[in-house]
Amino acid sequence: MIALAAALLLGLQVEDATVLTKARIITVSGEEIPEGSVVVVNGRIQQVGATVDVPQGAKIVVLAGKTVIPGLIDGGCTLGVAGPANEDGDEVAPQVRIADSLDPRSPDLARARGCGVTAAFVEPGNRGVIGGTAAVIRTSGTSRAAMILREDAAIKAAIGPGPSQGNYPPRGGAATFFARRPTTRMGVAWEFKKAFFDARRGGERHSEGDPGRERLLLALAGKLPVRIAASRGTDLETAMQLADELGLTIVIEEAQEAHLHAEALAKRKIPVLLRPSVGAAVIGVNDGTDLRLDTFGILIRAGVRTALLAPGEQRSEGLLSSVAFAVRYGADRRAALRAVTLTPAEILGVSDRMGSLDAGKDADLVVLSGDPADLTSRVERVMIGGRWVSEERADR
Amino acid sequence: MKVLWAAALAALSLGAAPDDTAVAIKGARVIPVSGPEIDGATILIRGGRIEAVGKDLEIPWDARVIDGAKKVVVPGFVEVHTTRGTDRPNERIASVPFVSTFDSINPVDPFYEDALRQGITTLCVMPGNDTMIGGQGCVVRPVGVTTESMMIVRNAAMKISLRPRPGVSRMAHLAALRKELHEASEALKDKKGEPDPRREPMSRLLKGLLPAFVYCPTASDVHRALELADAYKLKVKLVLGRDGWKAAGEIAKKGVEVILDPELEYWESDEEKHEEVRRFGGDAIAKAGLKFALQTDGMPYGTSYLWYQAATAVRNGLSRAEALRAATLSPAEILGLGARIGSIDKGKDANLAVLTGDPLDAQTWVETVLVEGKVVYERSKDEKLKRVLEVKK
Repeated sequence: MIALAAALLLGLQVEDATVLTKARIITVSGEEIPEGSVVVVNGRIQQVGATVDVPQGAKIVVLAGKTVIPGLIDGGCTLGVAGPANEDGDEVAPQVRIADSLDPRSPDLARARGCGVTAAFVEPGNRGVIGGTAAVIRTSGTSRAAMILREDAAIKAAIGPGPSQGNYPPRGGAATFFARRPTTRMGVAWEFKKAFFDARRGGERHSEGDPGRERLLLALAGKLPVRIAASRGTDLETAMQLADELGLTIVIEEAQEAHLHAEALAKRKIPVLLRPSVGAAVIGVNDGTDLRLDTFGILIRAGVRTALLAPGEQRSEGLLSSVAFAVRYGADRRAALRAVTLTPAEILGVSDRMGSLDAGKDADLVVLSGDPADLTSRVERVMIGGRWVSEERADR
Repeated sequence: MKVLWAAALAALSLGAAPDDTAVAIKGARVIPVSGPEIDGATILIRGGRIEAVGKDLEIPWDARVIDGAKKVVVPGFVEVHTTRGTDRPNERIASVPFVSTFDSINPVDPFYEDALRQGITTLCVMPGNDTMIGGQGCVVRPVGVTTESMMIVRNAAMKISLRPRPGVSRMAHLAALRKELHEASEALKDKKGEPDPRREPMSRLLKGLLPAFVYCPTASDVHRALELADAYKLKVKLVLGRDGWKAAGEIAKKGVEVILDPELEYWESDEEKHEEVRRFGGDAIAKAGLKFALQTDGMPYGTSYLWYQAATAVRNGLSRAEALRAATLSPAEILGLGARIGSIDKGKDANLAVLTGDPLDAQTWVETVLVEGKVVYERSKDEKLKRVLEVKK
C-alpha cells in the first residue's frame, strides 16, 4: 500500500511536501493520535498516523507539545462581505448572490484565518425574507474564484421578527426601503410561501429564465437547500411547517431555542447551526425567551446534526471558544470539536474535502498550543490547502 | 429567587453585631495570590475574617466545615470597574460630579447575583464612559437587598471620561474639562462662600481625597489624562481603551495604575506590511511593571467573566500568577482596599470562591462563595442555573 502510494507520488512529481511531526493529532473522524505526524503533499493530506513515510525532500515541521486539529469551519457568517450583507431593495431577493459581495482582501478574512477558521458559509444577512444565495468559501485566496468552493450553496431565508423590523405599511407618498412589506411574523411567513408559489407559476415577479426563479425552483425540487435563520422556538416551528408544506430541504441557523423542538428536528433530519448562548445573561432573564446554556447537548442527544457557530456578535474569530463553552455546559469534547469542523463540513456538503484530518482531504489545519477546549490555548499556525496562511509573529 | 433570599438573609446578618461564627474550608488547593499555592490547606475563618491559612491546622469545634477536597480556593474576584447594576450609567449633562451611583445601584438587579455566580465578591460600580465628569462610584459587595447593606466604600472615586460626546470634538471636550477643573480649583481658593454640597466632590477630588478614574478611549488620551493629573494634582487611575498599552512607557514614568479594556485581544491592520496583527492589551503594560486590573464591562461573552479574562490574558502570554493577580489583589489595591481584600491572608476579609477546578479552566464552576465569612452562594442551591443547564453526573 505504502509502496503503491510512493510510486504514485513519483509519477505525480512531488512539488511540495510538508510533514508536521511529533504533534498530538486530533483527526476528528477517528481516534486521537497522542504523538504522530501529518504528511501534506501538493496541498492535500497524504498520510496521518503515529508513524508515516516521509516523502523525499519534504519540509519537516516539528510540533512537539502542540495539538493539530482540522481547520475550523464557520457554518454561517458574513465573513469577507464588503459592505452590507442585506439587500434592502427587496424582501424577496433570490436573484442576488453573496459571492458578488465577497472581497478577498477583507481584513476580516485575515483575522478569521488567524483564529483558525479555514472555510465558511458566507450568506446574506437576516433582513430579507429571502435574502439571496449563499456561498461556501475558503478563507484564503487571491481572487474570488480561488476562494469559492460552492457558489450557489443555498438560498438564504429568515423567519421571525427580523425581516419585518422597522417596516411600516405604505400610507400614500413615496415608498421607501422601509415601507416594505411584511410588518409582522405572519407577514414574513406569507412572503416566504408566496415567493415559492410565484416561482412555481411564473407569476407577477418572475419571467422565464429569471435566475432567482430558477433557484427557487431548484429548491422546490429539493436540489438546493434553503438556509433559514430562526432564533425563537415559534420561528423554528414556522420554518418546519413551511418546509413540510413546500417540500423544501432546509437547514436551520441561529436556533437559540432549538431545544424546544429537538425531536421534531431530529425526525425531519433537519441540521442545525447553533449560535450558542454562553453568557450569564441567559440565567434568570424574564423577557419571554427560553434560552438555555446546554442547547447543544440536548440537540446532540436527540440526534440532531448540530454544528456550532461563534458565540455572540457573529464574529468568526470566536469560533474556537464555542468548543470550550460547549464542554463547559456539558457536551462531550469530541462532539464539541466535531461541531466546528466535520459537522459543518457535512452540512455544507464539503466533507469530501475538509472537516477532518484524513488522507485525501485538503490540508486545512490548525496548530494549537494546547487542547482545543482550553481557553488558554493559542492558535499558532494555520494551513489552508498546504500553505501556511497564518503564523504567529515573533514580535508579539 | 432562592439565591436572592439567601443573599438577603446573609446581608441582614452582615454588619450586625460582631459575630464569632467560625468556618473552616478543609483540605483544598489554596491559591492565596499573595504567595505560592498550598495543596491540602485549611482556611480558618472567624468573625468574617481569615484567621489562619495553612496545612495541619486544628479545626475549631464550633466551625462549620466546608470540604475542600479536590477543590480550589481563590480570593473572591474583584470587578474594579463596572457600569452595570444601576438604572443607567450616564447622565446627559456633561459635568455632574455631585451625582453618585449610590443613588442608582439596584440591589435586586440580577447582575449582582450573576457576579456572585462567577465568584466576584467586590465590585466598583462607576458612572459610564459617556459623560465628561460622570459622578462618583461606590465599592460594593454583591450581597444585600439595600444599597446600604451592599456598601463597602461610598463615593470611592470620581469618573472622568475623555471620550467626547457625539458632535463634540476632542479639543472642545478637553477645553470644557479644563474649564471645569479650573473653576473648581478657583472655588477652592474662595473661602468666603457658603459651603456648597454640590462643590464638595470636586473639592475632594482636587485635594487628592478622592481618586479619579479617567477613561482614555485611545492611547493618545493617556497623555492628556496624565497632563491633567499633573496640572491639578489629581490622584488618577486610568481606565484604558484597547490600544492604551501603546502609552505604557508614558504611564510607567508616572507609575499610574491602570484598568485594561475588556476587549483584551483585538486585531489591527498593519498598513506597512498589509497584515492583520492580533494585539493584546496586557503585555506591554505588564512589561512596563505597571499595576493593572482586568474588567469585564461590556464583554461580548458575558459580564462578570473575570475568569475568562484571566484565561484570555494567559493565552496571550501573561503568566498565570499575573493574570490571577489582575483579577483579585491588583484591583483591590487600585481601589485602595489592598489591606482588606484581594488575597487569602490572615486578617483579611473572608471573601473566597471555592471552585471545582483550576480558575482558568473553562470547565471549572464556582461552587461556593463566601463574603466576609458568610456563605452567600452555593451552586447546589442555584435554582436559576439549574433551570438553564442540566448538571451532568
